[in-house]
Amino acid sequence: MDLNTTAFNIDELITSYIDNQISDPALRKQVEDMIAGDARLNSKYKTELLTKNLLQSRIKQAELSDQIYLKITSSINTIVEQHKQSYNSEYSVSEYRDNYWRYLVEMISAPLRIGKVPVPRYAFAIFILFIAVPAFFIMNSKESKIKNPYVLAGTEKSIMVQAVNEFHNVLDGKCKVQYKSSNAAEVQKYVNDNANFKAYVPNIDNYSLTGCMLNEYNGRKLAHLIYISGDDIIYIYQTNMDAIIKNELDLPEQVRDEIIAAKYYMCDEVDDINCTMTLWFKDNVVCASITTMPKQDMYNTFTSFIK
Amino acid sequence: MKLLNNYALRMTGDQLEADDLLQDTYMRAFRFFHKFEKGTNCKAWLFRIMKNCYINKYRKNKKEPSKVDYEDVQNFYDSIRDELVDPNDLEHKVFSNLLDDDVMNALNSLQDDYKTVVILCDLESLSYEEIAEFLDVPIGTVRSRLHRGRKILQRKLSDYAKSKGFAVKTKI
Repeated sequence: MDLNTTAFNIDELITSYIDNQISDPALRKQVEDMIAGDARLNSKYKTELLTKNLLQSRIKQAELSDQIYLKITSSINTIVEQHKQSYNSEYSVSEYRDNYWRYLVEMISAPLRIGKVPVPRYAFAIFILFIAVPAFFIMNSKESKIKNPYVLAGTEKSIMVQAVNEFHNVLDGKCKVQYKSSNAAEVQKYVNDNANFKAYVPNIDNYSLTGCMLNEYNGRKLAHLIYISGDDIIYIYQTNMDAIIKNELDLPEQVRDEIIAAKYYMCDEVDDINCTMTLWFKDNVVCASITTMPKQDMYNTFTSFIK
Repeated sequence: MKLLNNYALRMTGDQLEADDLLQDTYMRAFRFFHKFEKGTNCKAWLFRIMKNCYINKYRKNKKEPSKVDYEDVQNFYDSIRDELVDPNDLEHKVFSNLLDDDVMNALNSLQDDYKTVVILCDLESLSYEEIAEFLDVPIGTVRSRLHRGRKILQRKLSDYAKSKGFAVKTKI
């Protein structure tokens, strides 16, 4: 280091000398010579050295207490434990998730051998899909056979809905004939006596009367007649027209208008098996027949007994 | 931890605050350990964390940031730079009559940058190179601050002694 510098730099060199921070022996010797040969520098050296020694002797080293050491290490341990728990839970969730997806992918893509031909497992899923989807549409298409708007929109008060439901109860065997007789007059008398309205019990060509059932809806008596011919069945629902006037039962206004105008209202697509429904008034009685016959056949039958 | 504890105590001047500073330093070091560059000086890294903690927290609490006004320090240093004191007088009339608290108060009255190098060199016996690494400054800066810090400290101690009636002659 060049010693031909300012006093400012020489002072700092003395500082380095005091702190034993001059590693170059030659420079160190030069500084020592300067201190020894210059009273002013010597004074500076001594006063600075005294200051340093004073600090070292008067300011005691602070002891690190066990308490603060334990406080710090326990705080760090707490953080470590929290991180461990967090890491473990995150790892286990992610590990589970990764393993699950890996397992799923492997399971789906692993081929099955049918004979000598390897077939991916997902091929079965696709095959089932091709079966299930058309089946679903077929099932739905059955339900879509109910297209009659009055049946579709009808409530439980609806005569049309009640007639359809009761007919299916008869078909399913849930509703048993209460009064068995093939004699129309006897059945009519039974209904008259027990239902308090004058029922209409026609004789239908090629069909034999099996009897009738009676029940009530909102205190209103209902009569149900059953006619059978082989596998075919004609069911007739009857009640007093007074029930409609008093709004105890519903019959759509459009249907009523058509009955008045055409003497009857006939429709199909009223249930899943595409039965035919016919409605008409006979004196003060509302009649609703349901049959498994096609609409045209029912029309022919109906016109044969309705007079 | 002992070095940091000492430094914290010297800088704050209060044992409880020093404990908090030490704890904050270690907690922060632990949290940001991933930022520690492998192969570098861990002690210096911890020291820098403590210094930042001290600046961020301790000074905020004091609400009076202690900023080094180098111009003021330079002016003060220039005024005393060529002051010469008889070393015998300094030793026997000044230093011998000072209490430990006087020395501590004089040290605490130094600006932080000067106080830090004095503490690290004179009390912790670190080399200039280590101090430079700790503070992330050149070695020349360490030497310069150390020289000035001691000179200012010497003047302050003389003033303490003077205030107690133990004046020494100065030769300019």
